[in-house]
Amino acid sequence: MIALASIALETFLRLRRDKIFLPAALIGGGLLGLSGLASYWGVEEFFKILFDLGTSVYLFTGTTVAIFWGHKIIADSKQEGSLEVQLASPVSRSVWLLGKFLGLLGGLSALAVVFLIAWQGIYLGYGIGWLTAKDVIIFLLLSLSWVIMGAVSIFFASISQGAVALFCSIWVFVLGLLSAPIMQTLAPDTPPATRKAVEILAGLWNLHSFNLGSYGGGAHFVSHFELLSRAAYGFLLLGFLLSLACFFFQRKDIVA
Amino acid sequence: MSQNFILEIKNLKKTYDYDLFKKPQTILSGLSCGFLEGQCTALMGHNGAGKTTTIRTIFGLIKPDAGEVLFKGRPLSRKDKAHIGYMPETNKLPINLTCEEILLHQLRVFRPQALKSRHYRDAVSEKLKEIGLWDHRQKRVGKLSKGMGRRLSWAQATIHRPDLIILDEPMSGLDPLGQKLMVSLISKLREENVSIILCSHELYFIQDLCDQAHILNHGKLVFSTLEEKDAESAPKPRHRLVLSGCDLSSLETLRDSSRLPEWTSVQVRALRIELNFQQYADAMKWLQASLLKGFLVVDFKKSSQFDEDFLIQYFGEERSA
Repeated sequence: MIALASIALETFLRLRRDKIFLPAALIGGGLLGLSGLASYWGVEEFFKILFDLGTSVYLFTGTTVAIFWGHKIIADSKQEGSLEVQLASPVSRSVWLLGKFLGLLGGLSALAVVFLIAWQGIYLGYGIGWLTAKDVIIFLLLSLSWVIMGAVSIFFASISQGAVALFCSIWVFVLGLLSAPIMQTLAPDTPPATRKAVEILAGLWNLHSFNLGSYGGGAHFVSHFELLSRAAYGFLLLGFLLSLACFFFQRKDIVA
Repeated sequence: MSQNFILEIKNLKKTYDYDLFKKPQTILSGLSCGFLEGQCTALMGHNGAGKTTTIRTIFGLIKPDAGEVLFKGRPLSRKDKAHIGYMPETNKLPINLTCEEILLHQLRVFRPQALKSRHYRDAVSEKLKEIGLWDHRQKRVGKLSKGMGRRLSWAQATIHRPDLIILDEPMSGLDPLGQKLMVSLISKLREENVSIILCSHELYFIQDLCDQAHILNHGKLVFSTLEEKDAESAPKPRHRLVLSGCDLSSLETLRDSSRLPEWTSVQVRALRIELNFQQYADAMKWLQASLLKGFLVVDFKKSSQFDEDFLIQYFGEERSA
């Protein structure tokens, strides 16, 4: 446990000092602020625009950083060779990978806190008051999609070269965003087999499941069961991706 | 084998066949060798002989196709790695962590039994002072010079007080001052009876520090001082006395007048004279006589006399990358 915590702490420190942290926090916070302005000047309902733009900014900025960091924490260790030294220790490869993931989780949490503070700033700026539990849940669930994409990136980085991992992760992210809209827009004469395949893919890999932005500001919200199902789906994905990463990483020769 | 090995490698085989379009490349072809407890053993070989692959296999970084690694007589487990230190050829340190953070992390990961966790910070401070990096403790690795990085790598490899330490080209990138410090650090470990495996091409360094030597060629052991047949053909160890403040004629006079034993060989340098003896007793007699005569004793030590010609006959052809 101490070793795991130490690896996580080391990774978190490295991410916090990473050059991308400050620009990401500033750009994300700034864009969230802009979404507040856009909704104020918009012709449609204030909260709809605010949440549509806000959650998109939150999702895209956070996910980009998660993919970049997930790839970076593994690729940098390979490149600078510290991976070799760290794995020449009594720590197992799975613990090392898990420690890296926990460090990433810490880094992303710090970024999420910055974004939430920016969101709270918008609320206070428009005299809406404090964030409600529902608002926090919406952003927490969105943050889960960051973490999942971080795990995807770690998985690819643990089995392939840095650039390949980055490329694959970005496309898996795009697939996660497109799978549900593609399913919904299938033509009625689509062959049943194709429809089934698309439905299975969209059922397994659909990042929209974590975006409850459409409920922001309104009186309605998803039921507890649905909320828990979405969270459980996220944690299952996380578990699956990390297990897969550990499985392949365990068998790999470290020649960095 | 009856010898007391801290680490033993048995019939290690490894072939790289990652690339579909390239011919599989055999790096280790049935390598077997042992490393004696409490001794410093040199692991030598031409570039591509399989030294680094051997080290990586010891640590489980590379999975061998066949063979095993024994630590203190039993198969090396993950927990056994807590008793082994590793200093790689180049500085492989996380660039945006400070010296202090790296060493603290190392202790938390290795968790040496002899040290309680509340004393980790003291151990780190002590180590940083020992290697002269105390004033740079808050500096990130990326800001350190190469020599400082080497010293930090050394600290990382030894802070958990391992029973065995594997050093891969420890002198690489060090200036003369850094080399001197490294030699003194390794010598100190030898005095503490820590077993050392030393991969290096620096012959003078191997001569001064190593008790045993293995030479690899194309993934096989071709020479070992632990093998009887090789040991017989190997150059005999010598005892070296380096003097200053005298010339060769005064030494010859001293030899004749005091009936001192004949030296095996002598080398006259600019300001120094190096005398070599096969017997320790002979060297000691010369040491005492030199001190009485008031000559300045620059160095007195045992070395193994592996010279370049000796090594070249075993190194053979370099493997292509």
